[in-house]
Amino acid sequence: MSEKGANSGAAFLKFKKGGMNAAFNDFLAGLINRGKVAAVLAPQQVPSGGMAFPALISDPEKIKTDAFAPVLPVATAKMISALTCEAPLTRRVAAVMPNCQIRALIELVKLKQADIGNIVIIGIDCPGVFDINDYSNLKEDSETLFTALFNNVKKTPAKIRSACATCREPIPEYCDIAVGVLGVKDGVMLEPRTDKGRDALDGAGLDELKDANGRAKAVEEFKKSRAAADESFRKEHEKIQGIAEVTKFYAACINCQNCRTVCPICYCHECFFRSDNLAQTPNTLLAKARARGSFKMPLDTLLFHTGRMNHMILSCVECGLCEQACPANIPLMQVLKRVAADAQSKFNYIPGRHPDEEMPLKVFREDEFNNVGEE
Amino acid sequence: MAKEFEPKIVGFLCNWCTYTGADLAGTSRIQYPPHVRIIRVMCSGAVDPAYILKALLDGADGIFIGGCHPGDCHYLTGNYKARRKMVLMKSVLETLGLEPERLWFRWISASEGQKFADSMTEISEEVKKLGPNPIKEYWNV
Repeated sequence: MSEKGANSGAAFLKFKKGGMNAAFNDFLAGLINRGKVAAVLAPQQVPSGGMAFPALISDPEKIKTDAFAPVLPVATAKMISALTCEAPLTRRVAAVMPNCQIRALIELVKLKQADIGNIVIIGIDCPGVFDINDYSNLKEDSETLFTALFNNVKKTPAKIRSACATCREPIPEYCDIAVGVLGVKDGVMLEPRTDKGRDALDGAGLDELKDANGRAKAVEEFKKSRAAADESFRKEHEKIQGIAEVTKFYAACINCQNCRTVCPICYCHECFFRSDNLAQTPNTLLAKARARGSFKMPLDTLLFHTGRMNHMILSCVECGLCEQACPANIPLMQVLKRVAADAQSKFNYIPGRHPDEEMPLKVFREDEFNNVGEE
Repeated sequence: MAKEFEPKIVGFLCNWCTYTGADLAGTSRIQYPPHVRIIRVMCSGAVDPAYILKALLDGADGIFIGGCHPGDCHYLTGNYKARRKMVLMKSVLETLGLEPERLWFRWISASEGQKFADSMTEISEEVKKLGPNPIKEYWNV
């Protein structure tokens, strides 16, 4: 992947009367019509309205995506995994997604759960998304909401999820085509970042992006404000520490494991924490009760959470899907964001930067962490 | 009179080095505190953190993981991987304030019976200072 400046070779997709979606859908349909891709994976409103799910669309006539819908019901990265885990695609598919999902996808590639050789990753500037329940109750259309989130976040009818309000990586970095919204007027920037991206844009008949001088600054300021929010969010929740506070934090957990079901990183078909490894027979349960006096059923709530952290936290991209899926409304990000930052910094690892980077637990150096085993 | 606190320590010992080292300590009749409950594993790198956490959250007062010296792993690199997993696990426990100081890691070879006994003595004393694992007071972990 060649890193290029903000404006190099970037095209301009001008909005039409029908709004951003109309122009963007024409662009996506063009990709199929020109034979650049066989299908498109992008958020699209379900017929009843009220929710935008990733849709895999191969008929260009049926492209009615709502690509800018500020909602993330499921991990798009997992959908790409479903498409490519058995064998690489033989034809290209364009996939529209926010940066957190691109980063999760890169982690899945490292884990050999996905192949992006024939995926044209189209990354969109993300202003943050609403909780699914909030989103489905909102009356405004997605374009209005999306624009409002970028322009004046205080005037939006609901708050975006805390994971998004504190997101340090809202702008796509690793992708084939970057869709720039920030600092671009009356349209969006379509910047090819790879040969795959350049090929997809080839023949699209788009103008060159001319007026994007404000973009770099707008992006920088936007990222800065999110980073500041992240900093204070972590500080605010530092007090969730120690066995008393931690058990209180997870007190309402019903062991449903929704958090790992929706997690883009948790890919195991059979989770360790649902496996026979931790299964208890009636006799061992009773023996345990005798030994300890009493214990909560179901067992191992904290073991599940701390154990899951050990399995996935180095790859955690802080997308917040776990928190959104929690039926007990446990604000999981208050803990996970801190655990992720601390653990990832120990290995100088930032998940989702590039598929060629090694995952910390897959490699080692002989001369490192020399105090372990000696102190 | 209250009985002195006798900690329960769960030890995960690699079959090739530390377990054999413990064996040597035993056959050499070296005395050490009887607090460690040994689980023999094939390699320190094969210990999923979940098992260690299981012991800790079920109330073990201390956890000991013993592996071959760096460079001496029977499977060439298992202990280096174990080391990284330990760093991760300690980091998680530290952020959550769940007493990472109850976790102990040592490189003990098959010929180091004395080092095994000394380590057990040291760990027992340190864990005694920490006192009983407070997790035992929480029936809802």
